[in-house]
Amino acid sequence: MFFAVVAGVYWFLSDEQAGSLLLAFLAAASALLGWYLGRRGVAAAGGFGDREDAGPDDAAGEDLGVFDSASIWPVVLAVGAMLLGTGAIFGSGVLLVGAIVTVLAVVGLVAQTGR
Amino acid sequence: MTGAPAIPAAGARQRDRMGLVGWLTTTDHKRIGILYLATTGAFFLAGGLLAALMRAELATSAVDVTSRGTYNELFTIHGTTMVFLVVAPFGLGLANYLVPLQIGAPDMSFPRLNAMSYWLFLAGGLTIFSGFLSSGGAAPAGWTGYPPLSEIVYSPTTGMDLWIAGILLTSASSIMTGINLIATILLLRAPGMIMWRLPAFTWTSLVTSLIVLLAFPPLAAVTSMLFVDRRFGGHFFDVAGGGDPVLYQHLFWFFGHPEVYVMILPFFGVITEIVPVFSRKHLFGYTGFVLATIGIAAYSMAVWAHHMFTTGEVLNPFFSAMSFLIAVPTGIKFFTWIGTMWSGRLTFPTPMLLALGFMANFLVGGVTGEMVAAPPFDYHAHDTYFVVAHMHYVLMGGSVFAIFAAIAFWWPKITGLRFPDRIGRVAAILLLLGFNLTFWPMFVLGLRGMPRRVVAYPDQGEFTAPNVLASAGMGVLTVGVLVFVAALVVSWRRRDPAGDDPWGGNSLEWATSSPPPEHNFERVPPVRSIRPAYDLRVVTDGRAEDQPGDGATP
Repeated sequence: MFFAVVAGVYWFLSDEQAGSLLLAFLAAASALLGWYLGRRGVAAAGGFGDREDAGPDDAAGEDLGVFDSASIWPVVLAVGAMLLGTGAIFGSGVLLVGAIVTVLAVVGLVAQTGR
Repeated sequence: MTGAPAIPAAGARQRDRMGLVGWLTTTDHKRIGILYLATTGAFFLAGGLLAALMRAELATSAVDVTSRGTYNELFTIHGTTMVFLVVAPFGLGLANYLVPLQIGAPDMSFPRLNAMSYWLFLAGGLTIFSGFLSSGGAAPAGWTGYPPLSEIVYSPTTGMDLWIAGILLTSASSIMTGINLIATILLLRAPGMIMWRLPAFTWTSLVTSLIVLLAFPPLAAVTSMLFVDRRFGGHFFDVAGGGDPVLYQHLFWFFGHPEVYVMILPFFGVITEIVPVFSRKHLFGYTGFVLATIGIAAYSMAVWAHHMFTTGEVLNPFFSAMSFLIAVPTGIKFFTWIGTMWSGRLTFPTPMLLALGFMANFLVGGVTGEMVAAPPFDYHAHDTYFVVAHMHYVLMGGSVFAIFAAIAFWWPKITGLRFPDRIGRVAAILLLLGFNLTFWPMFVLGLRGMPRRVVAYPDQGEFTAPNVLASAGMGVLTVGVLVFVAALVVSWRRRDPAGDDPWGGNSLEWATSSPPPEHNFERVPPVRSIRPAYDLRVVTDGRAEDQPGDGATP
């Protein structure tokens, strides 16, 4: 709504088309987003976090999902990405090593998820 | 009051190994947060060293400390470091540590992605700095990397390419953290922690993450395009080949302006966490604060060309109007802080002193930003020291002061050790004095017409006195930083336990031990307001509400 007001003021003061149109579009897009979110009811997707009156007892024992334990693959992936980047600069040898390390890391990460 | 703990399914326990392997393989958000904070601290000292070299050079009008080419590398890597390797990652790293605690979650939504973000950030930073080791030196084209200077013809060295690679790595890191934070905040909130009870810092982290998702892809695109121009015969930004250097500026600043809000919004959150605690009052205008934050994020996407007024190729009135408007939500935040302090019972330990310094400095920075938002003024001030002063007032006087405040405030929580307040206050005063002595003269310099990114200036002219003052100020500032670091070292050596809630804080992180246990909470407290730790203290423990915490050693 703020944007709609601003758009109106801007149009009136500046008589300039492109910016006025952009601001009006911004207002319309925000309205659409707000309407959509309201309809979907973002809270409906949420769990106990979205209920004002929920207490710790309500979520007792609730499975929040898997929180991965320690993993070496993130740092390996970073090393691989760094080698890929510098390989693009310094030549195909480094690039190849980087590609291999990165692929290794991705495989490792996916395998860990599957476990 | 009983509550069964909300913990994840068994079988996913993190065993915090000690030693190097433990740190290399950790996926615990607290450890990753600590890695971020320590690494950004190290990069801050490195970037500060580069700044000190620049100020040493500019203390006299002659080219005596560095060579001309080296000076270009200094200001480029100083800017790149502070923007990409210090301020933005500190905000995201602090969010990494605090957000799960503040929302009552055991960890981030995607712990391995979290780890990946950190290691990519470190990789990017090292890549950028490795330019100094390369044969042609580091990137010389400014942290903004404008072509044609950054094209292969004028910057033929690999340092520039390493800069590009480093930026791509750190961009990937930030985008991943943004995704992780949004997922965590939307999905892992404790029971009762509805969106309108989120602490201020969590709100600003959420909005910052949204901006990151919108802003960083164009950066990745434009730096990749620059790389194609440089190494693969592209002509994106090269007029002779049908391209346009101004295209770079559009794409860069479409990223660059939201980026500066990425660099300030988490710190607005930090200040908004600190002020109520040391005013012993509830936060004034929480709803306004949240809406203003969202408003700033929305507007930040619409002002990018105010960095390009002098190209003559953008619609000045539109961008000027939008830039003026963006001060409105920021002003709302100032009223939030003032309203909170009004009739509060104020105390002034180190975090509060730094927060007040933040407000004063950011006010100057913000107002001067509005000045350059007017194209007629900007035509005079563009690419002069006026802009350098403005940006340092908001970024250093603002964000970096808030970084120091955040470290002082959350140090007891992260380490379990009390913060030495007397030393901290000395540091805060030195920082405030040194900072203003360094950067206020730069406004004068800019108005007198000294351009930025120049290694020398005319001897005995009107540029000399402000430059000397600024260089002297840098000395005071450096001492302030060192005193602050000394405070942390002293705290580490004293090993004085801080207790769970040394300051009398409001948000959930103060309702668990210092440092927090492996999955953050043995028992998540009930959440019925925006300050659940306060509620727990007053209602459950019966502590008188107006007792301030005693979180600092003298």
